Amino acid sequence: MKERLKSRSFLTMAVGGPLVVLFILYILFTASGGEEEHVRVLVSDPVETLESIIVPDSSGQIEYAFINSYVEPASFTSDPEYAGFDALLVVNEKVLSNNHVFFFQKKRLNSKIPLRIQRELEKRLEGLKAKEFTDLTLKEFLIVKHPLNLEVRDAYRPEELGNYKLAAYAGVVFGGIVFLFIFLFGMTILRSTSREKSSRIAEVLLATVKPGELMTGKLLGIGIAALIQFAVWTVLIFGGLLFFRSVFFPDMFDAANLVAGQEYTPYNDLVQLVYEQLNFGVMGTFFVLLLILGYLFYGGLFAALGAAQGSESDGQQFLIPLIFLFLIGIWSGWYVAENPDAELSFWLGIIPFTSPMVIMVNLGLGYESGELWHLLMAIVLLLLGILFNIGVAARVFKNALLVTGYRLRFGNLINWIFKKP
Amino acid sequence: MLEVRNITKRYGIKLALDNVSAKFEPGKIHGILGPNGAGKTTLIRIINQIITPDDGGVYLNNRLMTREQLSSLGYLPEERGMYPNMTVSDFLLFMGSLRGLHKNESKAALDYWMEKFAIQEWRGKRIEELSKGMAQKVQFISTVFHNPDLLILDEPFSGFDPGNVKLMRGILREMKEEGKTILLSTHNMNSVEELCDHVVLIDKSKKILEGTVQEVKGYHSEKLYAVQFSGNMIAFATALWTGFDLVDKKIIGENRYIARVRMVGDSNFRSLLETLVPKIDIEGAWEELPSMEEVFIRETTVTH
Repeated sequence: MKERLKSRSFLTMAVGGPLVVLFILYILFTASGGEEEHVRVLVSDPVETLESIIVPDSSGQIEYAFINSYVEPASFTSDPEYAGFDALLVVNEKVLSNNHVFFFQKKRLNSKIPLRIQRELEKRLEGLKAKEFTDLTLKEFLIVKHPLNLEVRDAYRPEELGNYKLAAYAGVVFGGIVFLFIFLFGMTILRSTSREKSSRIAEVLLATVKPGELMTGKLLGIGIAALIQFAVWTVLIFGGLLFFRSVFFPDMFDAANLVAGQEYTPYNDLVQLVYEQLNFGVMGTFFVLLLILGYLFYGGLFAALGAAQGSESDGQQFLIPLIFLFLIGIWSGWYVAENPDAELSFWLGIIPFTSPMVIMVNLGLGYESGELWHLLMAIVLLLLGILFNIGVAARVFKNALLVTGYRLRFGNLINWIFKKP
Repeated sequence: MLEVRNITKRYGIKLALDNVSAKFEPGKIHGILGPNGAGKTTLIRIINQIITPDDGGVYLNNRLMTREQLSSLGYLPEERGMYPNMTVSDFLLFMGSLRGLHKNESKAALDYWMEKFAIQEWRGKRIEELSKGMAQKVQFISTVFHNPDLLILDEPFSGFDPGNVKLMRGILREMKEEGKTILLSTHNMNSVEELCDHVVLIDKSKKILEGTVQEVKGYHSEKLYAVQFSGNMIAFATALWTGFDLVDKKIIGENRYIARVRMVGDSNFRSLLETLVPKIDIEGAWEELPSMEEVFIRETTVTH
């Protein structure tokens, strides 16, 4: 562990990694400011259908100018008169019936701009259609058109607000990070064991320590180094985000955006999730717990595979089943987020291969007091799974570590699992 | 005293060791010899408790050896194994801590051995930067770092130039004088002749020979003696008339020779001397025993 913590690669990843992440986030946050570009749109409305009225949104990002004649795209791009405009919106005389307009842009605008223009134009045309085809006033028409708000709530907790799907996927993200770390450090265990075997240092070590002690020490040493790296990442990234919020992007996750009566946006849901719904204390605690337990569960398997490899390049095909297990674990997170009360979700929540992910999803959704036994069973089975895996892995480790000069076959693994060391 | 009693080990249907017993006294260098695949490495690994025997056991001072006693054992395997990315000093300190040395003890041992081998400038070098011989030195140091009472060395001279072989032999003799038990597994028969007090020869899983080097060579005595003398060669040859065969001679100076003579029938060394003394000036006479290499070849080509 000391060697790992002192190594250049560890220090580079521990500190350099978060800096790279923060740099990328900075670029992303800054680039998203490109949405703030100001756009001037020339509206070609030969029969004055729109009556020179389109109500832009409050951002002031889009400015409309109207011309009551048809403008060809060719002259729009070449005529100096139109040099100050970024785009041409051509409204034909039968737009109220054919619902078709053309939008010509001089440069590729942010994809949100045409969508916003479409929304604003639709609002204007709705009013005109109401007037043209119905006897309703605009106000009456808007009442008819008002979209239905289907608010999903739990029948057992009808008073609770919140978007449960978003909370579940927050759990998927946490669970995904758990699996990512388990895989990365599992591979470190595998490579380290394989190298000790091929460099023959294993024989020297086994003259001093038992194979089980060697394997356990390796799991613990790499695990502690992993936790330290994770802690450094967490501190640096969150510290960096706080710094961004206070210096560069003060509106980022601003809770003031969550104002009663404000028009619904997905952004509000995210803010509500972060500020009101997720219990970060519980999520964080279980995140660390499941990271440790999941790592111990899978770590033994990586150590066994490293000991079983005949050479460093040997046994790559045996990594595929392990990767497959990880993919199933990640898939289980998505499945449970989409089908939280399905029977399969119950079993995925307690099977040790998938429970680290599913527990995080269920924590995002929230456990009822009557459901805590499910969480307890999952933890107990995970612990039992750890003992079993480490036992099997230790057997393979003991039997295989000193054996050389062979190509790893499935039969070797079976033989080592059942053979008494 | 270290003792292996009735050690038997099988790998599946293959018998690696068959009822092997031997005693290894302290203050002596013991050679464990045998052809490739004889079972030497298996025996060494059993003594190290890396593997367990199917029958028999390893005893230290008449008590079954425990894992705790491994801290007083130093093992140098035939296949060199170190952490390539570690520096020399870090690796040695790590091995010291693994053997239970405190930090200060490890540092003192590091200084001592670096000076003894005159390799102080290697401290900061990474293992992977060392040549084979340099790495071998470092690994030998890691074996003796914690001042073990029992040393097991498998091909310790492999990769060394003659100068370093001489250095190593000197160190092993010093350790022997300190009362350590040293087990040496090697195919270098010159080293066996020069260093070993006692040898055990294993072939095809069985112990086929045990004894001091002199005893083992004596088993293969061909009753051949060398006589160094000054005088007349013809007179010498004439004196040997019956009872002795003149095998060959070598001129070592003016009228000085070394002649090799084989006994015939009931003749012996005494009768040879009685025959020669009146005829020539004998400067020296000794029995010519076969080399350990010859003993090894003879023993391992005979079916047991």
